[in-house]
Amino acid sequence: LGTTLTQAVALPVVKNTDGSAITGPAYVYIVQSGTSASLSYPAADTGDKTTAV
Amino acid sequence: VTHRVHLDDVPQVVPAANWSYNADGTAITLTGGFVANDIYEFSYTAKDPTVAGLGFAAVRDWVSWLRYEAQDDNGTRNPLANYITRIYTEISSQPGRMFNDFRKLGFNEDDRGAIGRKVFDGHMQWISAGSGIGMNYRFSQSGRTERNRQEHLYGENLFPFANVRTTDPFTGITASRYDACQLTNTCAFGVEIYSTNEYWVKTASLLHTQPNGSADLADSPFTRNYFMSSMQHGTGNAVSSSATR
Repeated sequence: LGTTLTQAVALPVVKNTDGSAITGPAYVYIVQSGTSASLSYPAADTGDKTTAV
Repeated sequence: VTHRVHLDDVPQVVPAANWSYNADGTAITLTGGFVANDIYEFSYTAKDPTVAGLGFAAVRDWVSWLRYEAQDDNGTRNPLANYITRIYTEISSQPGRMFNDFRKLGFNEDDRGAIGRKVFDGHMQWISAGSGIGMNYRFSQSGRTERNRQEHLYGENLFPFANVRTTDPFTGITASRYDACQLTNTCAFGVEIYSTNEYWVKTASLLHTQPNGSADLADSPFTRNYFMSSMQHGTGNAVSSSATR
């Protein structure tokens, strides 16, 4: 196998039984330069800037 | 969002007016930008966790199929059918952390109902030591890795750390990474090889001492530990290798 081999998996997203999104507390540690930082999981509400609870 | 320069500094809250989400909520932008090497932490309410723990099952089922099955459910033949007698893994670092939890969670037992059917016979665990991958948790971030000043709060290094039974002094739970496989007679042998780095950030000491540090542990009948003194986590380059030789 070559050194450029990349394996990846597309994992299913969990939903509530009624099909609505599951939400919960998430945390990101950021040590980088630049103006923006990616999140591993999207924000539940981009209009809510309170800390996760 | 909080900001600090040094690990021991008190994190300072960044005013909400100074950061914003992008349109789909997959990134945040900071007014003035992030300062390189400063520490920022962001706590928020996320959505759409993935079933990251399926990764363990995917590894188990794929390898088990190669080893034991003649064809898949669609009739596609296994090109390695009847050719495999033993399966060993050779990894470096992060996938070894995956196999640490793979063993801990009992995934070396084949999932087809046959008692005692192993998936892997042995693992060469290169520089993964006592850590795990934190994959079997909601909002898992398995790409994170704890180092001296970063990423301390992810679910990576979690009890049990050793291949023999120990008791967690905080919870009172007694367990080994090899408990699950012993119940089904499916334990793979393990060769745990690690450098000094793993003593700092991958809980290597807890492979071979009591969790409170009071005594050395007995060897596991399934594994052996090998410490590479003065070696780096990686092989480095010509300059750094020369400097540390």
